[in-house]
Amino acid sequence: MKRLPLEGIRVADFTRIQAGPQAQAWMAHLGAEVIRIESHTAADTLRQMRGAAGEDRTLNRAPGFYAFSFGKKSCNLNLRHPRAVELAKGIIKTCDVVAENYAPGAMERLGLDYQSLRKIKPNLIMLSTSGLGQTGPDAGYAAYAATIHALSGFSSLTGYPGEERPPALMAMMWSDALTATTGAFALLAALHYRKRTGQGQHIDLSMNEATVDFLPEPFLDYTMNGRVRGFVGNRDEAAAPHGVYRCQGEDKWVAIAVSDDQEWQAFCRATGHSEWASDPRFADAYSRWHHQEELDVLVTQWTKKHIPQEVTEVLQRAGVAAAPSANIVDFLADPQLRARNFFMEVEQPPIGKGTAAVVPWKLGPKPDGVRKAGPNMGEHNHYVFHDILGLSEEEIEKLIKDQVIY
Amino acid sequence: MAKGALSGLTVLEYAQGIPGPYCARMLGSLGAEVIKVEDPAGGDMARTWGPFPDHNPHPDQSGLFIYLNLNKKGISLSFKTATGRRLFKELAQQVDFLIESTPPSFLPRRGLGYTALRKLNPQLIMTSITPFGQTGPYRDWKADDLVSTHIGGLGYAFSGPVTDPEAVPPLKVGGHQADFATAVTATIDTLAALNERRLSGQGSHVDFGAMEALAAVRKGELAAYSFEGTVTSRTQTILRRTTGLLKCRDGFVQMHGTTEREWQGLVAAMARPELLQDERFKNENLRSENWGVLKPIIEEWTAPRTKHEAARTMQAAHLAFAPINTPPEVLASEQLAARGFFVEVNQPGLGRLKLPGAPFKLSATPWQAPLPAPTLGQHNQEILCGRLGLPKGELPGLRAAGVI
Amino acid sequence: MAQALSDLKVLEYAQGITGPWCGKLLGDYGAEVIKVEDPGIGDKARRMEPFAGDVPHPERSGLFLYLNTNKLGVTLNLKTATGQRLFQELIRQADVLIDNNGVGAMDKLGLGWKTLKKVNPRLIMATITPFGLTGPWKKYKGGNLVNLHASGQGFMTPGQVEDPESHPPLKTAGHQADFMAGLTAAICTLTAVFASRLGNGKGERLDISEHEALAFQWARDIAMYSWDKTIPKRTKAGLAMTSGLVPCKDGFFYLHLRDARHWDTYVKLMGNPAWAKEERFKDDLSRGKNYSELEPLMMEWTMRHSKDEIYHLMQGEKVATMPLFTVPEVVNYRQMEERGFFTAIKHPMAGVAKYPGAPFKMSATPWKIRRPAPTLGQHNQEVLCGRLGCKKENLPKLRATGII
Repeated sequence: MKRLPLEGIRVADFTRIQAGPQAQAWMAHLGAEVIRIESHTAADTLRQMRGAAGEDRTLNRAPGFYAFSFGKKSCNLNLRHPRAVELAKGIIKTCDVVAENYAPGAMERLGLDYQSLRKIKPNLIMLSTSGLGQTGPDAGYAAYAATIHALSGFSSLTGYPGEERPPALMAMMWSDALTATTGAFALLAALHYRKRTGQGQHIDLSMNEATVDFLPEPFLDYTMNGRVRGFVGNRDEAAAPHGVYRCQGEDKWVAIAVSDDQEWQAFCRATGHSEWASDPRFADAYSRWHHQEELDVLVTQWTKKHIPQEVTEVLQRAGVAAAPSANIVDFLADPQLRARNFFMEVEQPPIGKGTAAVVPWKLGPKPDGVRKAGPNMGEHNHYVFHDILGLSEEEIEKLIKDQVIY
Repeated sequence: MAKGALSGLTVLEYAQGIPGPYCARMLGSLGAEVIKVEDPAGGDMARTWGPFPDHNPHPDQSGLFIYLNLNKKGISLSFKTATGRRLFKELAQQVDFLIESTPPSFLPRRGLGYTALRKLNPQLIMTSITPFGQTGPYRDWKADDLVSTHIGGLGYAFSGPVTDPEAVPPLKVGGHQADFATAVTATIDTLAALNERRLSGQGSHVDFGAMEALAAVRKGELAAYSFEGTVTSRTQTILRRTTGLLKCRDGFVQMHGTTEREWQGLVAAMARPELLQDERFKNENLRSENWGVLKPIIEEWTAPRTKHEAARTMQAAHLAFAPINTPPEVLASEQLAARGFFVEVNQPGLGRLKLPGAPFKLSATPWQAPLPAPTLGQHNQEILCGRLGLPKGELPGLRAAGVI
Repeated sequence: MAQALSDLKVLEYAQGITGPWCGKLLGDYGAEVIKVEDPGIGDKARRMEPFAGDVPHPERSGLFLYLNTNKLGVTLNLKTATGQRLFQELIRQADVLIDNNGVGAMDKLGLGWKTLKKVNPRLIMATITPFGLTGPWKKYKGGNLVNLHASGQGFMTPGQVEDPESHPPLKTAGHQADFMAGLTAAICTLTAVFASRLGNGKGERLDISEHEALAFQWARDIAMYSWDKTIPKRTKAGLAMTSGLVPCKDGFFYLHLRDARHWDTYVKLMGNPAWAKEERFKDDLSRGKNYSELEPLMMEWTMRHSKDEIYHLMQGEKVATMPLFTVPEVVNYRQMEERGFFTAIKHPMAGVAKYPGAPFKMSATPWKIRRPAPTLGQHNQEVLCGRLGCKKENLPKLRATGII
């Protein structure tokens, strides 16, 4: 097997929950050795999610945790203990990257901030992810994806047209996902620069800012035109029909996007409604957009008679963009993802076989990424403290007993 | 400030290239308001033609486009969309002229032919400029300046007389003469239709074919053929006069003809009285026949002089001599400067440009300093919101839907 | 100060959001990005909202201007042989090509991977398509809405609703799917650059699927379903109340309650009202069940306080509560101002506006706006003459023949 792109890069991963760990999941997929540094005193929230595991207190039964930890290693350090901080520094000395998403200031209080760490590891790259950034008056505030959705303006723009109350956007941790992915990009850029010049640096990644960067249109509409936009739902600014339509089956829906007049003609032919094509209300994109409510009623009359997969096939064959609005069950059965080997079976001790995603691209003949099992809590203590730091078995035993390695 | 002769009238233009836009520009320079409609995808093809400042092509910086479209307001409308066609109809209801240069079936197929538009606006004067007119077997043929030049007969004899017709093909005149001649003729027809409207109160469709306009330019040869059966040959001397280019120190002068009086003046100006006695040059026919001998004799006089010196001296002696000017020399011409021919336009993005101005002067309603040519869709808001009453907030939607 | 990617040369033949966002990420951190657009109309984002001053114009689309900062803009018609030749010359000088023109589009132009890798064996070609270059859906059309729902994000937005029938799966604001695809492509590109420079320097073809870029974000849902058979619900009924949007004096705030301590803190801030001790609100589950009774009681206090007051009060107690900001509130938020996030950029046609700025700050190699987005073909001369050695005088000819 050929080597993975980031083989030889070692990451000390102090992050928790999603925005941090997911970025390091990218690094692990790309071949880096990512060592999660965790503690029983403040175990990752995701490890504590019970799910089917019931009340098992070993912290090793939560699939949601493994989702962002496949291929990583885990060691335990109780950083409230000064000796643990010393050990952490020892690990960092052997690393290329440190990642953390504590509240700004926390790493400094531990003596593990970038300025301190660069003294022991001059070419270190450090990624600090936080809700509002490392600087500024509100830097220390606590944040989660859902609160950032509110703070960044994202919630004020995502909702159903005509409704006044914004939805809470709790079920999708989008801000976490895009921040994590942005973090992976930042690390690759910094690694690229370090390879060229030998220089490391500190990266300050704010969830709030990364989220705004993904949503420039309403911000520019405000800064350029003073306009404050409302909810548009599934609608487009110009194209119609453009929406999610009810299909046959319980809570089954299909997304359809007709982008121009040619596609509209094809849509009418494919659905067997040539009378729509000659209706002056729907004559061009502009007219359709102004009559989209009437149009949506007609489209629904047709989609309701079919399951989403049928609608998708009929429309795509005619050259019109459509796809089922997939729930998790549809999603795991997705023929395209299956055909491209997007999923991989993983044997995850102690919870057994399950499914994981590999990287979202195909890179020619090279291996695209790895999917090894995720680590149990402290599974690699011996590897880290003995093999890397060279502590004796007795020392390790004592540190465990003293709850330094804990 | 005096009003233009056509002020108060509005022209809608859906034309590109040279003939239609130049026709509309002439109406505009007489005071009419011109609204130019372009396709949102790229606009008028003249925007892609040079010259460009510093050779750097830019759709809003084509010198030719700017020249042809001074004084106009520019909007963009896609005729591919029903809304674009509807907005065009609404505009057509508000105007006096429509100048268009689409193929004959283009507008009727989109419900925008003269028959349809007349119902909306009976007073409309619609001038359709096509290479071959709206009817006849060639109506759907394509042509450009080159093809028009030759099919109109203008090209065949242009480089003549020639000694070896095999080696020298018929020649196109410099620039886009056929297109400009077409435009000027179409403008005349359009003004005639305006006069007709003043008398009858009715609009009309001016069906204008470039081929006919250009054929009219060759009317001398047409007469010669139809009355005498003479086919003008490219090898024979068409003009039985002494005409030609004479070498000077810095270029050429064009000399034109020598009547008896001009011949005497020429000889006097050259101080060569002995030529008056020369049997070979006794009369105009002989001078023409012996032009090969005479030309070097005159060049003995012109060669040491500059073309301007030669022209000035001969013009003083009442001979039609003129220097062959390069464009910079035309721009520097004291005559044109004295008449204020070149005008300056402040073109956005380019600054002040010097452009040819009024081709003629009207004493009561002077030609007015032009406004710059529009960028693509520059006046969408002014026209669509101001004239047609669309709310401003609709414009981005129209753009995104490809209507404007 | 040096920039992280300043040694990378990127050629971008991509439009809309996915490819250009990838190019911008690389360019804003230092790469030289040459953006190739079709002559005449250019990138389709030029026609997308919002437009500066609400004036739809290809040089005034805020989205386009945002997505194309720091790029050099050239126009090339890749359907012409000369356009293809010039493109290959540019490929020869590039490290990366970004393409989002659809499956097989570049092959159809004779500029597919097989050709380009011969032109430049070091080339990394990042192709972004809706569903990937292989598989049964490879020819399917996608786009933001369709990809967002196909990947499962739409189904889980907005989360739990009262009535799923009247509340279909929802698109998140803007073009989140497209942005994620572009960011993923940027990661993939840097990975390939990293691998190529570590290895034998050979280029590769990157097949980036928007579908997978989105699907990849659901790692947690995949795992939870796969091991625990957890199916996220779209209905509110029966869920615990942990967090949510609560109305207050001037809008809403997001109350985030991770554990019992957070609830106690919140109750204390509200002044320990008597109802808080009632059985029906004793824990998450009861509060969720009786939320319709709970909310009006909370509002007795919240409606007397602004979201800003509640924000700072709660954060002072280490409870992750945040206000629901509207766009103007975000732009004027002191934290963003202090960090200099919004960046004023001056563009020759669109004027000055504040744009969202750096997605992250790098201490040694900053994010930087070196130039605003290019106007269509703005750098034709700089790139074609400066890099490829075309003669300046030939540019108008390349334009008139529709090549640039």
